Amino acid sequence: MQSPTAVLFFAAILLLALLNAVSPDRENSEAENRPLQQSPHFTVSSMLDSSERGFAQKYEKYLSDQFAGRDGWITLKSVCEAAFGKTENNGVAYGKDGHLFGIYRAYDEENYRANVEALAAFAAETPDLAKTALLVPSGYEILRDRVPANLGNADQLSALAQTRRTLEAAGWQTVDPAPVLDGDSYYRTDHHWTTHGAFLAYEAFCESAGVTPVAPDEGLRRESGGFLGTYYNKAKKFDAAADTLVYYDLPVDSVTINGEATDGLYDLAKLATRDQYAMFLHGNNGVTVIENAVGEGSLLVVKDSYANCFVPFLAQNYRTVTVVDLRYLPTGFRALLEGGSFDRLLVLYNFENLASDENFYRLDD
Amino acid sequence: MVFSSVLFLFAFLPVTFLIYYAAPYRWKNTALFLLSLVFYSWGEARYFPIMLSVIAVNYASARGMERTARRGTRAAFLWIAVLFNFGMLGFFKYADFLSSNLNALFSLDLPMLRLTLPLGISFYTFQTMSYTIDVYRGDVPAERNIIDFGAFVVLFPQLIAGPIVRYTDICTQLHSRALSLPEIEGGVRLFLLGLASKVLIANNIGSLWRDAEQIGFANISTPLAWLALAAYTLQIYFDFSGYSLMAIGLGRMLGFRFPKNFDFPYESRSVTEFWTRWHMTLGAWFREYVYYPLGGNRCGRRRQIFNLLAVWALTGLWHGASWNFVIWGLYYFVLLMIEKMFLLDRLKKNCVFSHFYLLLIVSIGWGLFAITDFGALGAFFGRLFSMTGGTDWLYFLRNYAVTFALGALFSTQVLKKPFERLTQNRAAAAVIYGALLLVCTAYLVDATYNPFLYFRF
Repeated sequence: MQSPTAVLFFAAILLLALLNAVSPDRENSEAENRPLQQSPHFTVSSMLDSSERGFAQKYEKYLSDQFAGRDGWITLKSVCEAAFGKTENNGVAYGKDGHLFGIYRAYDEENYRANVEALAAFAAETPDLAKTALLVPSGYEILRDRVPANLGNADQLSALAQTRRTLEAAGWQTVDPAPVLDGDSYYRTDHHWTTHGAFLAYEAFCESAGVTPVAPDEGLRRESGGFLGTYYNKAKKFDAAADTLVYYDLPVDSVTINGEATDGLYDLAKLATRDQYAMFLHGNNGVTVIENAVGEGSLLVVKDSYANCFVPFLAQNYRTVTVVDLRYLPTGFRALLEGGSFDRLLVLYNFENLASDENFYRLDD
Repeated sequence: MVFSSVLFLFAFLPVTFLIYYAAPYRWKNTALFLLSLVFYSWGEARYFPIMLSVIAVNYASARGMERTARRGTRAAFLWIAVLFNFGMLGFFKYADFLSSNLNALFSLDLPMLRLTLPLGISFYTFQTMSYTIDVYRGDVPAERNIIDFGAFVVLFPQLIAGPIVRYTDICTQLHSRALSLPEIEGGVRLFLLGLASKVLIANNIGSLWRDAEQIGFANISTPLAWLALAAYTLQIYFDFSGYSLMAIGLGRMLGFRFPKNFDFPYESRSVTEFWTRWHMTLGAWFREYVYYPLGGNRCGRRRQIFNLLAVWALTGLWHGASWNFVIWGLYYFVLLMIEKMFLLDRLKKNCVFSHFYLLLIVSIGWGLFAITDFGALGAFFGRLFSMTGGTDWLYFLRNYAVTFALGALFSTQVLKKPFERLTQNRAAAAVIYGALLLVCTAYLVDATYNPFLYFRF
C-alpha cells in the first residue's frame, strides 16, 4: 500500500462516524453514574442559540456522550494517564493502598461561612430545642498516611474546629468525629465514610447526647463486594480495587419516605447497580420517617448523604427518627419542626457539602 | 467548531472529505466554500451574515479598484474595505475595551456589550486585508470568481488559529491544484502530529497552570509559580503550533500548501531570533503591511524606532483587547531594542547563556500574556520573585514530570531526524500515527480540560 497512514486515518474516522450513527443511544451511563445527553431537537431558534442550550452545543455533547464504545475510550485514557506517570485523573488523586482522594485545594469560603451562620441563627430562634452538630471531615483528613505527599488539599480540620466554636457559642452541642475515626472509616473508591466509620461517629454522638449506643448484632452483618464508588467513577482508574460495602439488617417497625410506606431501611436492588451506596435509606429523599418501638423519644436529623448509613444505628435508640434532606425539601421544614415534638435535632454534614450546599435558607421555610 | 473535538474529527471531517473528494474538479471550490461556512457558523449561526458581508465587501472593492486606473478612486475602494474590516474587528473585539477605558478615564457609564468574538475574526480579517491591499498595490489581480474568493476567506483549516495565509500564498492553488496520495499522506501525518501536540501535550501540561490559578496565585510557593509558568510556556507552544500543524496538514489533504508558522522557537538564542520562528506568518504580516508602509528602516533611526514601537504595540493588542497584551508587546519592543543596541553580539558568542536567557525572557513574557487581571498578575509576579517557600510544588512535579520531559524534548529538534528515519518505513509510520489517533480519541472522548485559547484573538 502506498499511503497506509492516510488510508488508515480515513477508514478510522469513517468507521467511527458510522458506528456512532448506528449504535443505539443510552439513557444513562452506569460507569459514570450520570444521565447522558440525548439527541437534541433541531429548531431554527435552537440553532441560533449560542448558549449551552443551543442545538450546536447540545449536539456536540450528544456526540461525545453517545460515542461508540465510550466506556472503553475512557478506560484507555486512564491507562494512558498512568503511562504518563500521572498520579491523578479528572480531579481524583491516587493514594496508597488503592485509596482514591478528591482533589480539594480550595472551597467557597464565603458560602461555607454563610451556611455556618445560618445554623447559628437557627439556634437563636430555637432556644428550647436540644441541638447537635456532627460535621464530618473528608477521608483525606483522616487517612493522612495514604494521601499522596503534598497534595495540598484544604485544611478541613482547622476550619471545623473554628466552626464548632462558633456553633457552641450559638447554643449548639457539637461532636467532633475526627479523633474516633480510624483507617477503615472511608471507602477507597467512594467519597463517603464506611458503615464502620459511621458507627464510630454514632458512638461519639451517643456519648454527647446522653444515650447508650447499641452495637449491632454481628449476625445481622451483610456484605456486598464489587463496590466502585464516586471517586472511581471520576478517575476510572483501570486497576482500582473495589470496596466491600457493609450493612446491618437492623429491625425497624416502619419506614416512610415522603409519606409513602417503604420496605425497610435499605434498597437492596441498588446493590446490583454501580452506585451501591444509594441503597442506604433508599438514597436521598426529602423526608424519611423511621419508627421503631424499642427506642425512646423523637429525633430530627437534617443531613446530607453521609447520614444515610449512620441513621440506621440511631433508629435503635429513638422511637421516631425523622430524616430531612434540605436539598429535596424545597419548603415545609418549619411546619415539620413545629408540628412534631422533637427531643433533639441532629445536623450531620460532610465538610464539602457544608461548604457547597446552597439550601440552608430552607431551614426558615 | 474547533479541531480538537469529537464533532470535528468524527462528524465534520468524514462528511467534508467524502464530499470534497467525490466532487468533480470544477465544483471543489464550491464544496469547500459551503463546507467552510458550516464550520464557521456552527454554534454561532447568528454571525453567518457577517462572514458573507466580509466576503462581499472585499470582493467588490477589489473588483472596483481594478476597473479604474485613477489613484483616488482606487484609494477610496481600499479605504471602504479597510474601514469595513477593521470596523468589524474593532466593534467585536475592542469596543468593550475602549468603553471600559473611557469609563475609567472620564468616569462615564458606557455599557459593556460583552459580545463573543466571531470565530477567527482576527485571523480572517488579516488574511482578507492582505488580499485587498495587494490588489490595491497591483501585486496581484483581483479575484473574479466570488466563490473562489469566498473559499479563500472562509477556508476552514486556517480560519480559527492560523497560519495567516495571504492571498498571494495560495491564489495559484485556488484555481488549479493537484490532489495526490503522497500529499494527502503527508497532510494526514502533519494533522495527527498537530492533534497530538494539542491533545496529549498542551492540554495535559496546561492543567498545571489551571491548578495553580485555582489555588490562587497569592497562595502558591515560588517553586510552584515557576513550575506553573514553565507549564504555561509549554502549553501555549504546543497548543498554538499544534493548531498550525493541524491547519497545514488539513490544507495538504485538500491540495493546498500553507506557509510554515512555527520553527522550533524555543531553540532560539535571542528574542530577535525567537520572533522569526514563532507565529511566523503574523510577524510577516506586520512587516509587510505595517512596518514597511511606515517606512521601515529607510527613514532614519528615530523613525525606525517609532515604527517598531507601533508594530509591537499592535502585535500585543492583536492578541487580545486588554492592557496586559499591550504590555506584553512593549516588553518585546524593549528587549528587541536592547538586543539591537548591544546584546545580540554577546548572545551570539555565548551558547549556553543565550539559550537560558531566551527561555527565561520568553517564560516571563508568557506570565504577562496569560494573566489579564492586574491584581492576579501582581500576585503571580510577587510569588515568582519573592522566595516564598513551601512543599506544594513537589506533588505537581511528581504528577507532571513525564509530561514536562516530553514537552521539553519535543520542543527541540533532537528527535526530529530519528523520527523521520523511522517513519520513512510506511508500515512503522502507520502504526505510530494510528496509535496517536487512537490515544487522542480517548482523550477527546473523556475530555476534562480542552480549552480553546484563541477566543480572545
